[in-house]
Amino acid sequence: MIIPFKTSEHGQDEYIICLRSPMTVAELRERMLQRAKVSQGSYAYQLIDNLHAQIFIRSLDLKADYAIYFAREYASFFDYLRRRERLPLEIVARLAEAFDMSIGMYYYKLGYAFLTDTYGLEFLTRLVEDMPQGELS
Amino acid sequence: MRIRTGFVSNSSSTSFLIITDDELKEGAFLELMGVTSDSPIADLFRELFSDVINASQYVDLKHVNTRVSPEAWFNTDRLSPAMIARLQQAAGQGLKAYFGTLDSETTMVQTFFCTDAFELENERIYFNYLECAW
Repeated sequence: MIIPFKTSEHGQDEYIICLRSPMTVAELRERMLQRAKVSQGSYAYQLIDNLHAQIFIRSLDLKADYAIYFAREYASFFDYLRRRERLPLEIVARLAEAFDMSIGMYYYKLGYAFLTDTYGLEFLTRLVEDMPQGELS
Repeated sequence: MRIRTGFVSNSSSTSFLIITDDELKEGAFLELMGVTSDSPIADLFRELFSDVINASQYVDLKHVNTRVSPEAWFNTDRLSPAMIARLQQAAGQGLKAYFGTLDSETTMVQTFFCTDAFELENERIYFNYLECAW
């Protein structure tokens, strides 16, 4: 599940990417590169490789962050998202619902400039979403 | 790097040079960038190709005057020393050259590519995308 939203302050596109399949970081990388159909070592390959690192290595995993550091300080994951991360209420509600089903919840912001609006969501969905249409398990 | 005075802007532009053995086609361009035509990210590079073609001045290097600087061929002063050297090498070989500028103020795709710099080459195409002006 990928949740797109715009920050109220600057209208910047941000995404929270909820993964349900238990995959390692390396497996996620291989899956993204395979889906992208890019030639090894090419510019496009490095673009996708960097995108993977931006999302799954450098972005904050909200679920892990809450579980490891903030589960005592905040009464619930909902509270943590609202008060610490200051996410919009409608986004928080969706994430709180998805908490138990998700392996990780990556808060991806300040991404590539072309990852905006519908195009950005579709781009990420094709590469990152669990079990996109047509893909065999 | 260029320094502008009297006008503050946070936009950028990048000059590019492409030298190819034949007319630049989308398929060859996608191959250079490393995507297949059925790649789910091919549309990003198709848009880049379209922007490059629309922004390009085209010169057939078979017919250039090699006694003048390549900058005269394109009526520009934005060729880097590396671009000049490459064009001089390619002149007279029947190759084709495309030179132009992309601008971060137009589309989000161009905005992204104006934040990057690279130099790519395969057996058919040379693509210099290093000259970023901020």
